[in-house]
Amino acid sequence: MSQDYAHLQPSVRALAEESAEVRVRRIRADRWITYERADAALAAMEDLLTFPKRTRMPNLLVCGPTNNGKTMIVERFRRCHTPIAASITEEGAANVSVLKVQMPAAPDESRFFGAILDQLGSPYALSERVCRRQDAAIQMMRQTNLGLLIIDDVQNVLAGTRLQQRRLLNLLRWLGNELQIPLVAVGTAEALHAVQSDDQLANRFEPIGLPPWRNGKEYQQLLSTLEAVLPLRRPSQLARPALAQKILSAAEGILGEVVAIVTRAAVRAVTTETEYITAKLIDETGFISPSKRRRVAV
Amino acid sequence: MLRSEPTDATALRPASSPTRSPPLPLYVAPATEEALLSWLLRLATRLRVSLHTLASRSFGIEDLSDTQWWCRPHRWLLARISERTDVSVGRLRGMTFEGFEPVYRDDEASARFAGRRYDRTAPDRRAYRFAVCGQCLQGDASPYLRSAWLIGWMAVCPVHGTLLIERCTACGAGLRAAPFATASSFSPATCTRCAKSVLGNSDVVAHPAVVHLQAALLRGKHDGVLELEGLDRLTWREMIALADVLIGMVWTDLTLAEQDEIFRSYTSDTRNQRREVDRIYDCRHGSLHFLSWLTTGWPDSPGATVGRRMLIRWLIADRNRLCRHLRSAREDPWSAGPNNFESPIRERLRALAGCRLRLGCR
Repeated sequence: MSQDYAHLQPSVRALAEESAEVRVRRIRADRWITYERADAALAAMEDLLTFPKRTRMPNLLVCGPTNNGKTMIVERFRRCHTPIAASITEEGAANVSVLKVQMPAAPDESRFFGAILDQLGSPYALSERVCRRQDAAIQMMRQTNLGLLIIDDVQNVLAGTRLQQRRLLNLLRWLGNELQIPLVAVGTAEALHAVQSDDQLANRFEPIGLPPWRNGKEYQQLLSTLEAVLPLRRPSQLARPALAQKILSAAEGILGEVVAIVTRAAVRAVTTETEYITAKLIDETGFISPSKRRRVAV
Repeated sequence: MLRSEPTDATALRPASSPTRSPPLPLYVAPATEEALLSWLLRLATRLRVSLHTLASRSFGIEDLSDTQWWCRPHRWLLARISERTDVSVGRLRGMTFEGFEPVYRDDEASARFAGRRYDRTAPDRRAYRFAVCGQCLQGDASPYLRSAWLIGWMAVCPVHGTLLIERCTACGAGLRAAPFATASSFSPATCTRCAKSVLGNSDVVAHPAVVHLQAALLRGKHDGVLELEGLDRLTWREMIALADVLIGMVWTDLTLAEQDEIFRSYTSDTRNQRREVDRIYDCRHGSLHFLSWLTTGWPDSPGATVGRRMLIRWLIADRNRLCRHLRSAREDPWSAGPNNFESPIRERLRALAGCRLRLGCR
């Protein structure tokens, strides 16, 4: 190694010597960075998982603006609890402690149970009736000893008619009671409103908010960590107040946007051989903030 | 600095492909000598889906019109099944017919040498039939089909030497799997029509001549060549062609009186009851016994004399319906068409008949 790259984390330093193409691919790869609110959410889910079975299981509702890291948190939790393959268990049934499904875009019970069976890897006939698919999904969740069900994009229930919305919300309540497992619903503020529209559901789901980020110590730490995992050859000092504020303003406090800005600037830093991120480089990426995207003229 | 995943190099890897499906949530261990079909049916039963659903949704098999895909699946398909089931490709391959000679003249069809095969046209669709050894099934924790039983002419259990059971003793229905499109429970020891156990008559000892012929046929199916007394060395294709000519001529070319004469000779020579003739018509054991009678001691034994006569009759006939059982009803029954015997095989059969004359092609 020609330089020691002290600004990078030790595992990333070797990558800094790689070609531009390799580094760009690495920069664009998904990564997980722990922060306080994510840790709290993960701890809360871990707590639910160890909860003994009882008539009324506690549930969580992780809600926050879109692209603010909700899905990454639950995906992280799921990956920390990988299923045990059916072929190595005594009963010949997989042990799936955590299952994550997405609320279908066109929500109905059939598609919802289909999504559960898909995630469990269990085949089902596309033409079968709802009751049969429901029965298959419930049986399979029992057989695989499911411990916690995560339902991402819960706000999608609002895409259905009022009757469908009511039925799906009832279904969530019924599912928890039937299987006696905790549910983790994940969604935007609309999901919170949907859940709160049903008194019984509102009682059962404890909300965990993931509000937009503000400029502060935790945010600056986040930027420092992000910088340390991007294989650029020179330090960018993203946590400097001016640069940090510029990124936060452009991202409008949304975590996914912060990462997108930094990633795009890092890619540009590699391709232009600048090798560090500057305010000018961020401008050159042509990043459009989320609110401007909504107002874009065509 | 915050704790971050990139300190672990694996976190820098791109997310795994979203198209990769997880392994099936339930596992069924393949049993000793189990056929792939049997294991798939047991797996489908445990998953509470039909074989078609399992095949199409889990293994991506789009063309379900081929109901025999499990006999010799392509290696990519075995790899896909292995990926979804955690059973090694090698183990899966051992459950197929890969180790056997390729299909020739539909030689793996159920009751392949039985008379009813020859006097009917090949059906477009047929429920999959099989035969089972009652004694083997009684010893199974979870009854399953052995690969060897699924070869359509197998009549005797290679382990117990007893007749394989082809029909339900209670209702007489042929043993078959439920239609592959239905999500029914697979149980080879239970009749799909009357739901009673099929394991009665599970200790009928096979005729030694059938055991001998079956062993030779099994060797031929496995190695590609076999030897029979008086017939010397035959390739698998020659053997099947010979059987088709000998049995086929009896059932498709003779008058009833001529048939009756042959059956009289067969029953008196083998000291069989007259009712054995019915078994030649629709039973694996009976048909193998008849084929054994026609070929053993070639060319001078009483049975072989009849066999040789059939062979010569076929060689000099202008037309025959020997290939009818290989084709659909819409085709001309008197024309061999694409199923005609290849020249080298015809020459070999001509040599077996002892004919020195050059005869026209049939």
